[in-house]
Amino acid sequence: MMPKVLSQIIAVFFLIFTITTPARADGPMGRVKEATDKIIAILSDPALKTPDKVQEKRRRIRQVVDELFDWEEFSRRTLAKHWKKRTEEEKREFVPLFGKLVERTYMDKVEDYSGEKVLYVGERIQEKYGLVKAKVVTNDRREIDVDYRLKHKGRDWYVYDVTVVGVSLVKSYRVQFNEIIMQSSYEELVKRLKDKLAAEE
Amino acid sequence: MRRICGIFIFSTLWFILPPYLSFCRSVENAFPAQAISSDESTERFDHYDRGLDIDAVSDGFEYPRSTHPVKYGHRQTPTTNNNISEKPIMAQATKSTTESSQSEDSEEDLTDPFDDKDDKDLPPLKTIADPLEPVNRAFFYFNDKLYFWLFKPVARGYGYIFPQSVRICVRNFFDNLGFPIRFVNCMLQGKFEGAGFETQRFLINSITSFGFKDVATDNLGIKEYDEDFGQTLGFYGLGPGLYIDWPIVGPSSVTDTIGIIGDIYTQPLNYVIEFKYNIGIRAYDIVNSTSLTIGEYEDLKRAALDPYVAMRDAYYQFRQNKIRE
Repeated sequence: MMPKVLSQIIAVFFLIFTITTPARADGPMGRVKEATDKIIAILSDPALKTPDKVQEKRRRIRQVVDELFDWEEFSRRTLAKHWKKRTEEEKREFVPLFGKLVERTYMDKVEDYSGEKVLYVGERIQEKYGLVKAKVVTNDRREIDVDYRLKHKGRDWYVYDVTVVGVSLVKSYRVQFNEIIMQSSYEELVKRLKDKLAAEE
Repeated sequence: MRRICGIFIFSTLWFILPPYLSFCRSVENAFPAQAISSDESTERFDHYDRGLDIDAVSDGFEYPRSTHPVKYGHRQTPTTNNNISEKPIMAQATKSTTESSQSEDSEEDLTDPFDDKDDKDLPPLKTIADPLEPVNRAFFYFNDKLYFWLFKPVARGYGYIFPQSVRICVRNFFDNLGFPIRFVNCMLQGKFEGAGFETQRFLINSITSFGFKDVATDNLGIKEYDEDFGQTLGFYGLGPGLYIDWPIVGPSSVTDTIGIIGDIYTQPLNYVIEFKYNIGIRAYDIVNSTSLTIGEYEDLKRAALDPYVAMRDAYYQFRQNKIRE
């Protein structure tokens, strides 16, 4: 009698436990690792290697990337002081535009994947910010330092900047965007963004 | 004769350096924070940031206008006029952003705890001064064409003939020859551990494979300490000065150019091998390493809205990171 009740309680407890804890691996490193593993799985899936599956492959990678990256935070940090001057519509237009550009850059880097290894060196958490240090070991045995910077938002960690060999994506675009806005205008920046995306789609 | 020349140039370097240091300072003052300085909004933001500071340290005492330790301590630029013009804009912006995202959208929030103390993520953004931009852009264009019309096709053809494994061996060989530069600069920066590891690497690699295989790093895990004279200068607080995009050589700065000259004189092989052969060897080294990195420059260009600015900033960030390491 008693053991039966006990086992039921345990069963219910486990049920609740599995429902309430998110299925995701916890912490910034777990988050990055999970997404990277997913992308590597997509890239090395033999069923997706044929040329006619390129779009399908890209779509699936994009899905994983969108889940990991916080495009609004990206845009905010990249436009920096110019972000505040933007209206709601402008922001709504800019975030996906810039997101697409970053995504494409990421895709270019990732698409010719051929068995490179990703090592996770360490993570650092400072309040709501997280830093994940990783190394990509290329086939010719070069080590490329890749740092992910994440911010805790809502229930999860989201990437807001990626640094490759010390070159931060956000900073690099910030300098470029700032120069364009200062020399011409924000409208010109959006126009050039659109042209860039349209030209090589 | 060559040796005397080397010593002469080195000693002149030390004479040039102190004036150059002060020159750098004056340049950084003359071109603060790059293009942003041309806009009055920088000033406004600057003021806003300091405004936050003042709130944080205000201690309830009424300081006489001129003796407030923070408010009037270092700079006198903020004026009430500025403050008034700023307020409506700020209010409007915060109102609109709170609607879209619940996150606190203050400028303070843009800080990045993993940045270095002196490299806060706040605008005005730190980047390299570039008063020579028109000339640099011309050279950038030249180098771009040089890459696509000469180096890339040659490296491609070379890459078809020799398999990747061979090219990696060649790269390792040249890399191993760079040992004296790395060793000397480790010593100059007081990184004696690095100098020790470099010596080990050189001995192990030279003995086991004449430097064609990087046994020390691949099998024994001894890391390379990539130091050069430009980094040594940076290590002792010399800023990059101006950005220079040299033809053929590519992105550099005044400091790194001095560094390259210094490195030429710390490379013993340059005293042994005749100049004309040396040029040939260097060209081969470039072709070989280009054949291993085809596609990287193309990616940068494809990702950038302004490839020149992207290259300049990537160079600056990359070098700053190297100095920090």
